[in-house]
Amino acid sequence: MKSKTSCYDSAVSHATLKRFAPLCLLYTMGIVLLTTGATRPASYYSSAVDSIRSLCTTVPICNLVYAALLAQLLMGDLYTPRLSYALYSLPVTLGGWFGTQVILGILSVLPGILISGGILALQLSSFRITAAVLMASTFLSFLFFFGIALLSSVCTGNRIGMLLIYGILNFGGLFYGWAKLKIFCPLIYGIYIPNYQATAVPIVGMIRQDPYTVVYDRERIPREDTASHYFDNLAVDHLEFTHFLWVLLAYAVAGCIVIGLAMYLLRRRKPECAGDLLAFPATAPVLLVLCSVLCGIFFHMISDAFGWAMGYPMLFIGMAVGYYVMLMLLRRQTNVFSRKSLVPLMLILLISLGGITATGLNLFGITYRIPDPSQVEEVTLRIWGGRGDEIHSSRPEDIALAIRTQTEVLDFQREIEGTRPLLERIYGSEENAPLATTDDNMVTQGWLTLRYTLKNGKQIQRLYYVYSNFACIADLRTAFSTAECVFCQDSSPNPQETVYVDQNGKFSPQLLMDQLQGVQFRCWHSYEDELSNANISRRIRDEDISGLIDAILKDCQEGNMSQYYVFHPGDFNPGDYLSFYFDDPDFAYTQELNITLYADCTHTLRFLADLGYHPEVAEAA
Amino acid sequence: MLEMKNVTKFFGTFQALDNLSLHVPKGSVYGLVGPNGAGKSTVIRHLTGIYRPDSGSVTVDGGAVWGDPNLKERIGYIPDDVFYFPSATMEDMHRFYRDLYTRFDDRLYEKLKEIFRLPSGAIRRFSKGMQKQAAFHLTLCTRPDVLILDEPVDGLDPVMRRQVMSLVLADVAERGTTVLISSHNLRELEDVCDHVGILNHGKMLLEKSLADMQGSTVKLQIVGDAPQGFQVLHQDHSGRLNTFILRGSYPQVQEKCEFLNPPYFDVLPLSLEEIFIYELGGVNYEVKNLVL
Repeated sequence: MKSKTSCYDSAVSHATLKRFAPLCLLYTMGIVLLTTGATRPASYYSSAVDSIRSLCTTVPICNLVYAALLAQLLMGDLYTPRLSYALYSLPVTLGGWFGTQVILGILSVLPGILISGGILALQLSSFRITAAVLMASTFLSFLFFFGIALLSSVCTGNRIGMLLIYGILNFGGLFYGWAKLKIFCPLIYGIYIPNYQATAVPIVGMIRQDPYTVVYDRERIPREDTASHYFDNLAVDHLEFTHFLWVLLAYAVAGCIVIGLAMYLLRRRKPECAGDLLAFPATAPVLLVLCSVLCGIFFHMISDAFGWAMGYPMLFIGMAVGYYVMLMLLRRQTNVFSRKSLVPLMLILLISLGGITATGLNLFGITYRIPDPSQVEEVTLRIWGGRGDEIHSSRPEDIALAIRTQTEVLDFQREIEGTRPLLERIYGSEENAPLATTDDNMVTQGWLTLRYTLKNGKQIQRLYYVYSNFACIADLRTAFSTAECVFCQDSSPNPQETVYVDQNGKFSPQLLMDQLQGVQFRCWHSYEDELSNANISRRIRDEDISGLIDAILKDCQEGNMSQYYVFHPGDFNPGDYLSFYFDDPDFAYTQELNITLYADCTHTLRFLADLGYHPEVAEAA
Repeated sequence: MLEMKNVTKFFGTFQALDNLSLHVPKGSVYGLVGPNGAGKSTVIRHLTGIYRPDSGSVTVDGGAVWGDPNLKERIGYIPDDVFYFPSATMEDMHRFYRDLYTRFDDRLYEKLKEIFRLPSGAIRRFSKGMQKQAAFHLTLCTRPDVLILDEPVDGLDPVMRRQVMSLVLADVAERGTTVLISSHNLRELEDVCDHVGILNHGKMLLEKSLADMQGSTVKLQIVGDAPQGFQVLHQDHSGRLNTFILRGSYPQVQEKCEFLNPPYFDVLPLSLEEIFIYELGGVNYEVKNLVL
């Protein structure tokens, strides 16, 4: 007698193959067409590796859909009582049946991957590794989604349930992110989530990053539109691989673990659940609460998308709708409205309302939490003013400045909170909280981000309004008046990102001068001529540049060169600025570095006046 | 030997089987009867290894059925709602069964084609009776040691009913196949069964050989009172003539009646259908005389 205990059953395999071959064929055709369609010469400077790079982040989306369809078909026998009972009564083991379906499912993607990869490998005359990268990314992403789809199939008793669980597992993170960002954070003053990305959403994790960066050699870009160079990748110098494939590999490993989990659950699954929404009735309350909450968040999203100012009411309406819809699906009947069923809904709504109210009342102590200086490893201060607006520091005085600033901001916030009506204080958005009202129209406000990196590795990040009449402003101005900030090309004075700082991260006048020498040098000083209402621009003579930089550095030392307007109270509209021009060898156009001269930049203004560049200051003197 | 010992099964909070025991002797034809919702299908799904009992055991020749594909290969099962893949033809299912069952008899398959003259095309397009014939065709060819049939002749025409039952009985006679049949057609069941189990509310109400069952319950028509010492399952009267259903053997009742010497009496054997009706009447499942 043949063994009936292996993980592969040829009888099941033959039957399955015959039933689902058309879907496999469709996928194969789709992948091949997608690959051949996407790798076509678009313009004279395009290259095949660039197209393949984009394709690597597209195929996971196809696999997301295909895996769900495939699992529905392969595992569909579990959803019909007749077929489910037959499956359990036939002389096959569950392991044998499941193993066969898994193997066939995995095999179903191989023809498409191999054919498209083979075609690419034949077409490419260089960088053939990219074809392998595409094949790997297709296969690995499929493994993950197939695992999730199988798990969803085993945990449910019908197709609606399967799609529901598959959707939650794949896109639940979106709702979590939204709840965090749009429902809770606005209730907490100062909470700031920078660069929000839906990291808990697998498909986003897969397509967010390219597998490699294509580095072009500009000299080799053909000037004529010829198609032949496309697959030759003539203009491509080299590829810089990212950890994209490792991320996909991690997802694939997770997918394999999930397949194992699905097998384990299948053994515990009762065949009588066929047709029900869930295979494990004990999980029904969890799903009921989850779907209620997710539907509430979805309604909140709709409210936000249409700009309706009723986010919280919509949240609760959505919760009720989600709860009853889920109850209907679970009970397989529409008549679910009863006093008994109302009790859990009320409980869900009350707990949600309680959580929101407690957050709005700051019962969790998040708003006024200030770290102990001894716990802080590093602090990052960021003003939202464009260039040179970020300081990373581990110096105790900078940590103390951050804490002092936060303390002052929060003291001020307490005062504001005291003036707001109770309901608005709890449920009102802190983003739209009333600003400091003052009769002094010389007071301005701006944004400041504080990020503490604690010694235990955790981070605390806050975003606050700061006002020009705050006591901490003078210290902040000094902190942001360093030459590294003033002469920074980018938003952060990172030594690797700017050419004017040395290896120690310190500004080097010589490096700046080196960039200016030998290239076209221009230094203009402009000022507002109120009489003629026109800009006057004057070129700084080459021999004056060194002195000018010295004057700027003196202002930096005295803490007056900060480029952020909030740090210069009463000086809203400075018309004076310096523009440093230079040619960057990496770019085909001229770079410009602007330095605004506020009224308290006395050394620089004096220097310009003395040399006759600034007639107004000279006249005033 | 097909056996269920103290099996209990819950579906949520509903108890479908309550400490149920069932014994089907090897080579016998066992009729499983009971009212609607008694748990017959649940019993059958346990015997075929579909359901796993919450407690108790289900065995074939001493081996637990659930999860044992080698035992399941020896069991032929024809459910009320027969199994086939959605788009499968008879030939597809033939290949599938042949790959799955090592004892599949291809010669018998060809032979049975003369009896079951089934059309080509997808089985789902067959009538209900034809689908049932297809199931018999395939299942008999697997050469099962145990054949479990749930409403086997439902949907079959009278000729095919006889044909199918004769095939089953021939298999019993030839190979000693053990057969369990669940049916509401007690007249037909009476013709083929040698053992009967009556199920009610998930419990085995009565399980005996048909001969014992018919020998232990009799119908007495008598002018006057029934003799003492017998349990009366049912009582009716028409004029002076009383009809009693008594638990007792034919000779015992006959002897007592002769001793009483009433003006008229007659002791009659009961059909399976009558036993079923009167046994269940004893547990409050009876025909109610309701005037509409």
